[in-house]
Amino acid sequence: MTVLTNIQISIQSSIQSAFQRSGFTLCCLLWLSACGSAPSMPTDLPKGTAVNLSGAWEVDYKLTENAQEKLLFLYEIARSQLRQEQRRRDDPTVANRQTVQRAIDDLNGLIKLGTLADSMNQANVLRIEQGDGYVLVKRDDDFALTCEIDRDVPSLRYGEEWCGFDNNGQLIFASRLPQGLDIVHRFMLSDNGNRLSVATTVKTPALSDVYTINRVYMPFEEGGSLYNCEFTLEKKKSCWLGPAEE
Amino acid sequence: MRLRYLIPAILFLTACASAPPPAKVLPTPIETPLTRATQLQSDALNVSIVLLNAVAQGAEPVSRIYAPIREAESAYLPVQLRNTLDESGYWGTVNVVASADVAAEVLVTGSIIESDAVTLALDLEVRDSRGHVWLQKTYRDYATDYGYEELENTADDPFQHLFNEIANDMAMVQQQLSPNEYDKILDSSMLRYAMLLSPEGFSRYLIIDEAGEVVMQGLPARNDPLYRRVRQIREREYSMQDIVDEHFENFFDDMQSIYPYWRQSSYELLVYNGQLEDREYRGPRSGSWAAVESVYRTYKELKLNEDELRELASSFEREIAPTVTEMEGRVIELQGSLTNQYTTWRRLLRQIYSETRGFAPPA
Repeated sequence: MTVLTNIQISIQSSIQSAFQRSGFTLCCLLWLSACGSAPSMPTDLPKGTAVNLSGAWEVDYKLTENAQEKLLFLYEIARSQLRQEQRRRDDPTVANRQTVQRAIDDLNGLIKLGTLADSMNQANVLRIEQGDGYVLVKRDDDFALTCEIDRDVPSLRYGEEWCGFDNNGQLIFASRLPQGLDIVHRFMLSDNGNRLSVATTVKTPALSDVYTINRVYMPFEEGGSLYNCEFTLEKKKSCWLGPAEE
Repeated sequence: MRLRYLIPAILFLTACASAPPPAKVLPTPIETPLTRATQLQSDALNVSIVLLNAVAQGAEPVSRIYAPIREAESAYLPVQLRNTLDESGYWGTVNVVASADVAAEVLVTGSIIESDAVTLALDLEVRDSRGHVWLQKTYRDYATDYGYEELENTADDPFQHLFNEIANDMAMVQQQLSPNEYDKILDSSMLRYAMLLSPEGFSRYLIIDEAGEVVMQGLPARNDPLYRRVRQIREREYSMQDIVDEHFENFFDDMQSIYPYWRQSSYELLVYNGQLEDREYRGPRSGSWAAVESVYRTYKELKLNEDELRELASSFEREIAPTVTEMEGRVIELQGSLTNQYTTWRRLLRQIYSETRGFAPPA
């Protein structure tokens, strides 16, 4: 068992206990997506019933994972486990040096994956348009995720891409890019519809691990903001302070 | 003794490791330079290029996600062709128009068969006002790395050779026209226009057969006041066509800031993926973390460009400003999409023509 596997088990147990204490359903959902079996590329998505996710959502910092802290947490656990490993086998043999080196490589890999996953799931605001077999998730400072639920034709012009609702009503966007880079975004609505969790999982053959980062969003009323933007041919994207123009 | 086996083995292994992946087999693009007119064509034919159909008839519809991009391409590519025809020097006024105009001296219509940054295929038909089909052909071109490298230095399109080929084919047909055929094209064009304004006044001069070919039965007298009036009205029509064309030109310019870069990112990923498939077929992936990060950067760039293109395409129709123009001492404001504006314009022309003759305009 590698050091990293030990780390993941430690994380699972600590997060599990934290969520048990809070007793919040959504946290359980988060935990499941963060530490459950790593979602593999869903090449054959079940065609579940669509759940209405449309509307404007802003990040709920209270429930959202802090990527930096999560990585720091993983790093600390890995370091202490490495120390234990070194103490237990306090010998300078080649085998031991290799074990330690592998553990360091694993840790480096995890940090790289974590940083990449974090960069893929950073939006503070989501605007979801949905209807007639179509979902468009606009994310601030990031590209939009688009899904045609009623079409089997892959929408990506290279690599592969799948999207749709699974049997649990979760909206899934999965992409397999060149270099075997797999990205899965999983959108889960809480039972009362007040929170939306977005779990982003990254996997690549370049590193042996899978990393998931979660963000939780809550609905907000559009137009209440003092800051508004619009796109026009003449001015491109322009933003202003004040109410949205009709 | 051992060395005898060891050295060839090492050589074999290093050869395997460093062998470049076989390139994705794409037909080699044929370089087609643009044929330019050697002398000024003072009385050259005018060309109208209709917006391309985003999807060819009977073809599978484009994914809804890419539909706005294809819509944008259906307006972008005709402007590209117009620029090429202009550059060739063989033609009079070349305009991009919103809908087919049977009275056009030379009319270009067509559909996009394929457009994915590596391949561009267009189904085109070129016919003149007599209804003679000049060309009916599928044009296909493949982009190369070189085409995209050039993009950084010049405003050349990676598929410029395709447009050159169309322009050269059109020029070749035009050069084969006899002076008599040339005159017939001009006369048919004017008569067909006159028929649009007043079918009852001019239909006796020409018959259009089932194949859409025009059989001329005669011509109105040169000093026929109604025919003169038609000519005057047609001059106004040209000014409207210029306004419509300007809208497409502006749209083309706006697209220039995004579309070539979107196409380049798309090309890089398509080709890269092809190479990767070949490599995977031959053995395990040799991906480094830097390669993974690079793939994601390109993917993100491509997706952001797609977003901007989607926004641009949907803004185009939404933001077409009303056209305010003056006609016969009246100020006219045309609203709605370009096609609607043009339809309204044509209706007003018919109305003006009918008023001068003192009867109600044709329905």
